[in-house]
Amino acid sequence: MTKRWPICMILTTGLLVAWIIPASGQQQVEPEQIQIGISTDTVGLGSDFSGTTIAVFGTVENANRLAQTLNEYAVVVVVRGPLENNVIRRKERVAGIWVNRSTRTYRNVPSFYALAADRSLERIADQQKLSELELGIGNIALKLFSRGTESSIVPAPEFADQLRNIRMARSLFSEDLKGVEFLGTSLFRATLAIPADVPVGKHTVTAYLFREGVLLAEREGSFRVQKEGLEKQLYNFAHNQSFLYGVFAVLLALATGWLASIVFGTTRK
Amino acid sequence: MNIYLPIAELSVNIFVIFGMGMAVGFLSGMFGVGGGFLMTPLLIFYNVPPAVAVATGANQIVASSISGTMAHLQRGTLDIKLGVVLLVGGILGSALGVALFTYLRNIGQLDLIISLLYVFFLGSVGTLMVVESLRARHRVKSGGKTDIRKPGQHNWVHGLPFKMRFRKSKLYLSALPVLAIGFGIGVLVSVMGVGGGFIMVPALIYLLKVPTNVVIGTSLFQIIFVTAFTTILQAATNQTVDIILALILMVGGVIGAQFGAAAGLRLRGDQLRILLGLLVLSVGLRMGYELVVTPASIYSVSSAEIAETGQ
Repeated sequence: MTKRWPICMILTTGLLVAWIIPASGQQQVEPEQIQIGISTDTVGLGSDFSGTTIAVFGTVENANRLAQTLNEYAVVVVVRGPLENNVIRRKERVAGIWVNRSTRTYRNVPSFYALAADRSLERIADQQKLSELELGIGNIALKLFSRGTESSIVPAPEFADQLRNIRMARSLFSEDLKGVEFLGTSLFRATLAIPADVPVGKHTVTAYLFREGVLLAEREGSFRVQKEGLEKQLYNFAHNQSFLYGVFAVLLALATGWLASIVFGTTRK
Repeated sequence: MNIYLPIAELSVNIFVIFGMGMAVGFLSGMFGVGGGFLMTPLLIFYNVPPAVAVATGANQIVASSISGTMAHLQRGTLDIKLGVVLLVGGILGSALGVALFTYLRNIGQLDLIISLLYVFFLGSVGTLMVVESLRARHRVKSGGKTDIRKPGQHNWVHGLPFKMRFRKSKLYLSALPVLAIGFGIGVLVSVMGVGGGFIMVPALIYLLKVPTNVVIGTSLFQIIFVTAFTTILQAATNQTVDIILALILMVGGVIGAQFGAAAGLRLRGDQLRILLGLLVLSVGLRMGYELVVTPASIYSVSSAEIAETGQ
């Protein structure tokens, strides 16, 4: 019986080794993670607001050294504003006058969309993946809701393109393919421009980590855009107590007019 | 210096808005008109959304009409009874106008209807004013009478039922045309953002034969109430009254009006009317040009917020 001991020892050691080696190997392929921090959690629209930029800092965790050296990690950061329903109208000439005729309604469209990436999108992932994640202005899903009054044979894609163009012209949809910068091997910074007429509400920030066309990780954060100070109070007053607001507006007008008649009336006498 | 308008949701230059208020105030002081027909188009040309321009315009007119009304009240050149009947029609018209405004805004035809109304009313009133004042000028030169009102002259309006006596205007006539004029102008106040004086005054003079000395005072009197009512209704239904914008316009307006009134004293009545006619006509033409010329973009977007969930 005692003769068997060494064999047992060998077997056990073998098993132990077999157990340990794959375990340490597994540690090396632990999946990459991404962490982000946003430079602000509120953007205040005061009376002098003329746009700003926000910075999103992040790190790639458990990064593979080789992939880092080969610059294989790609990062995309997207800010999406509150969803809204959009009605696109197309003017047509009727009896010499331009009149809104055809309309299309799109549901759940982000009111704001700003994308920053460290390289062109086609080098990050294939078209199918980009559409699925809605990465890139052209890939924002525009879901047609109702076709409105059908008065012409204008195809809907044209309306969707025009919606994108109009939003881009006002900087409400934007893409910056040099907006993400690696500050070291795993630390990155994304800079996103927030224009003067950014919509109010909760904006989500999503960071995506890709390697060789594969989405490895994503991480979400958010910030809030809100009116500040007097503007905020007046806006809330106008919307929450709109009748009183109207009465106040009239009283203000009466006071201004009356005051002026006193000031100028007495000075002329 | 830029200032953010909380309701228009627009960043504007405070001096441009103030200057607009001054300029319109100057003209309204000079010609003795409210100036709403100039203010609203100017705001629209400056990219203020038409819905906000119209509602805020009505608010601004309240301020610019109060001092004139008080002056007429003191001088006794105001027919309160006639004003109240006009007002009853005006308030009904304004209520219909705000409902119409909301409906047109929802179907996306508001801007078009506002422009068409401006082109039609400013075009026709402007033309009439120019023609009439050229004729009056001709009569003055040839030494004829310039009084428009011929006592004792009647037209079909005086044959209608529900007659009322308006002592101050020395009139005995049906309440129906008075209500109708008030109603029609009430609709225009809420859809166009004007006081309506430029239609009210000729309608009272030519249709109802109201003596000219009480016309302006009575018109101003009812304009205050109708525009005040419209402001409250627009604020409550459409949330389109921008107090900041209105305040800057009012202050600019009342200052400009003082200079305008002084300048107006140096011009003769028929000269003033020709100039005012030309001004009205040119604003109408400018609006008409916008409708006909090919727009920079034939597509436009309007958005409806979706209520935020999960706060």
